Amino acid sequence: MDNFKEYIDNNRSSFENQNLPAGHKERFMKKLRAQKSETKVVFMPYWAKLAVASAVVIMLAIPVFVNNRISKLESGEYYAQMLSEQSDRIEKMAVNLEPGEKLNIESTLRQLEDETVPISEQLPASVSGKERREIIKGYYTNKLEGAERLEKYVASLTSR
Amino acid sequence: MNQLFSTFRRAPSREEQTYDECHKRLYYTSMRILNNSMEAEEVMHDTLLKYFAREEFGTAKERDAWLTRVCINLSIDRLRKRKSDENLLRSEELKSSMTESDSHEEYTFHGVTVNQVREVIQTLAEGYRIILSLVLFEGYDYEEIAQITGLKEVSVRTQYIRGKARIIEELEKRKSNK
Repeated sequence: MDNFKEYIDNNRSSFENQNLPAGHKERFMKKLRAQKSETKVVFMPYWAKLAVASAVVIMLAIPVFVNNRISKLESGEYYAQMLSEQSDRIEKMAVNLEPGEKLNIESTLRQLEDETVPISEQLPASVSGKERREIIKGYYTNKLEGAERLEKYVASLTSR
Repeated sequence: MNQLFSTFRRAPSREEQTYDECHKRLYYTSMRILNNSMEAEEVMHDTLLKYFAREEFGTAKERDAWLTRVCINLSIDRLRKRKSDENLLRSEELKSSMTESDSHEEYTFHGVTVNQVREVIQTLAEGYRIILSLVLFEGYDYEEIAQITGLKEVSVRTQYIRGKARIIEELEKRKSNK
């Protein structure tokens, strides 16, 4: 064995007896705490990031959707659209009826749909949003029930 | 009373336990390469922080081998940064591939103290100090040192022999000056 190596091995403890700088452990624990707080930044897999992004988009879209729906209810646009779709359906059903019956039905549909001044514009500005929605709902419910009855009548004529 | 208080003392964390077990060995390893206590402490800290940032090792032996290797690499990196233009491991002298025979294997160390040997090692050129430290204290062979330092294996052996010759020369000089 190399004499040098043997000498070092035999006196290892004497070679390693110098004091370390004071406070070395405290300084290390401080660095370790800093490292731990850095690594606490949450690791997120790709799918989780995608899920969070989707949730955020949905959360942002909900108020837009709700506001749009409320505004359609308050202006009567929502019900007017339903009435228009129902009228189209009835008109198509009445295409093959006798001219007299057909004319009669078209005239009734015009009475249901015609609005010289829309109901929403007739209401004073002082009416609250909730009251406005209730009034408009009542007004169009009557029209939609009338259209419903007319549809059943046309159906009974076409099935003869 | 002291016993009563000691029962309430906080148990050391896993990191603290590892630190207590390994810090001295790492400090001395780095100190032998860098010859600077402040930098050696920083390297010791950085080595252990790297260890705690990764997965656990299977056995204490594997852990110690990893820590030593990282500590040596970090120390050499620091030395390179500090002495990039000086005659560290890149000097022509240290790159020399000339082989020399080891005529100092039988040196007796008679009348020489450990402190004297330590002082002489500290005064050696950094390149010699690194190679001697890795062979004598860390137990690496020439091939492993060649991988760590980027030198040829034959150069490592040559520098080891020259380093030892410098130590003996200096020790003898000190003996004759007494």
